[in-house]
Amino acid sequence: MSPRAAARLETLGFTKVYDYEAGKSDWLAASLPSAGRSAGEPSAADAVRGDDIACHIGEPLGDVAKRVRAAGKDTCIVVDDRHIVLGRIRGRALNGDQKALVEDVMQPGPSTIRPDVDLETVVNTLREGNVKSTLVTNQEGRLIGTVYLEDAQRKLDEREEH
Amino acid sequence: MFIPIRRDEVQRLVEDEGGQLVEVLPPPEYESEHIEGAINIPLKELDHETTSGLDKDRPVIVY
Repeated sequence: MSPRAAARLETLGFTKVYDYEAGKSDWLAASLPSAGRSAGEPSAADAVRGDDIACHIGEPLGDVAKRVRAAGKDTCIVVDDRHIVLGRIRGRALNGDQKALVEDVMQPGPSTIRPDVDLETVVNTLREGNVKSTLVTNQEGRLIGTVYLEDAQRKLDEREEH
Repeated sequence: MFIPIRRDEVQRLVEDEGGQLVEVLPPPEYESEHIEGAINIPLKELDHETTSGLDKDRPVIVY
């Protein structure tokens, strides 16, 4: 939407026009100042962990599995060179043919949310879907991290206590 | 031709050059939360009248 807005402004005679490509979600993910009705309310960005193990489609599964286990994790997020999320490998899939390539075993197109989604919505969505976590990406699809249900619920509980 | 920029450049333009932030999303999204200091002119409403409050000598940053 914003490239079209930028182009439109130029037709209106503006010559110093810039397009903030990553947009509001990127700004809020960095916890920079905001205003509005929901400003200050906890969002996915407040509960996101940025310690995901990333891998690339051309890597052998064995190499990836070693990295994942060494980090005490059970999931690897498949990204491209721009860190855009392509897929995910988790759980038992990591124990498959260790010579297979990531591309052949990954689950493509995992669900993601934006960092500015309010945390209560995140918790409700995770509970309804009976899942423990969700990936968080920016507007461009780049990986920011993962929000775990337990972290999100704890953040909400902390807010209630204060 | 407009220039795509990242967050650090947004901050620099606002702080050093008086950059004007314009959220072009629909009003409900703006009212819910927006970048501090941004104004709202939805994409469909961008015209000479709605942009008359913007200074053409200063950068305009849309998102």
